[in-house]
Amino acid sequence: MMNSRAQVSANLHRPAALALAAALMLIPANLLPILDTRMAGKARIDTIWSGIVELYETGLWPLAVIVFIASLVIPIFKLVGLAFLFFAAHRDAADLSDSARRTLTRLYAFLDVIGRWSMLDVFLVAFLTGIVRFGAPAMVAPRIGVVAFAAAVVLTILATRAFDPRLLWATASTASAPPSA
Amino acid sequence: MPLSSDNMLTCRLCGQDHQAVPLSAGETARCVRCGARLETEPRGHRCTAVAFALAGLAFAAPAAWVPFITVEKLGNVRTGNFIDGVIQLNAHDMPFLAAWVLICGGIAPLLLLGSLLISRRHPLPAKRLGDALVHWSMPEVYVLAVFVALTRLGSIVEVETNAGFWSYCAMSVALLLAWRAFRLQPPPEPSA
Repeated sequence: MMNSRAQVSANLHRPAALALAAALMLIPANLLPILDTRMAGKARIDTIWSGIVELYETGLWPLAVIVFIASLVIPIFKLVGLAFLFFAAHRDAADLSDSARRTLTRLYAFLDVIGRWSMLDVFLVAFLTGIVRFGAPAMVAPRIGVVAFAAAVVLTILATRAFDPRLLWATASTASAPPSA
Repeated sequence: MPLSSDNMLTCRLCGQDHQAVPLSAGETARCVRCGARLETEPRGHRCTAVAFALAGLAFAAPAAWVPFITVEKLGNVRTGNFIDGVIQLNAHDMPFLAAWVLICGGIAPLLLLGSLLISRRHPLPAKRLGDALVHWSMPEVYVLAVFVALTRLGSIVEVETNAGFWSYCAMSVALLLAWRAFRLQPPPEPSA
């Protein structure tokens, strides 16, 4: 049966393992460099954070905000949100009120939608690598951190897909009405 | 939303079953229990999704082959597009990352457009394929990445935007509109 606690717990193994792997991947993704740039007489190697700081310092603060949200806020918010959902489904699914279940279901739908925007930095590195190829004076090359970051994004998306939000409703009564228009 | 043979709509998020009712154009059906959107009856003709999908595929060809941007540096001119990025990632010993970018920015959107193109004749397979692909199809995120790259490069070197990028943007918008216009039609009533 769906509503036995052991069953709920078993259904959480896969998404929890994927989310844990994603969290671990975020460590090298943020510590290792993602981009090697040689341009305008300057050579620099950037991590996700230093890339954001550089955008901010060159006066491109709207871009800095966009990349900050896509590369740092969304992955961390997503993993914390997923952990919260796992915890709610595992521990107190039976004690939740319907409005709490509704809020958690909305949180899940939101996490599902925002995840893709984390790919921004990966696409940015891919595009810059493809265009800035002037040999020694100006070139951009990807560094290994971007692979770790892409892996973290994929694992987070897979973790979200693996979580079944119906677990939040496993012990709820079913309403019997036509859909509201 | 899964639509079973007896016209029951099951909420994807909470599993609540609903009896499907006809909706008028622009009307949205929400789940009685969790409030999630079950279906929105699209405004416009039943072929709108197919038309947008066709438009998207028409833009995909120039998006693939025409340069996105031209960069000038010390008298050297370079052009680049989506495929160049993929090739260069592969050349830097990152084949999996190259494949991943190719899938999310190119293959998944194309397959999604293809599935929407057949959605009129084969709605059920189109819906299944679409639901599987839609999470991995991210052309709008790629568009934002190119905007960021353009602005960043523009502060250092001379950058010119080319038709390839605008075609890619158009493909991305057409895909979004086609997916929005697509709705799994209930099985047609047998007519007398």
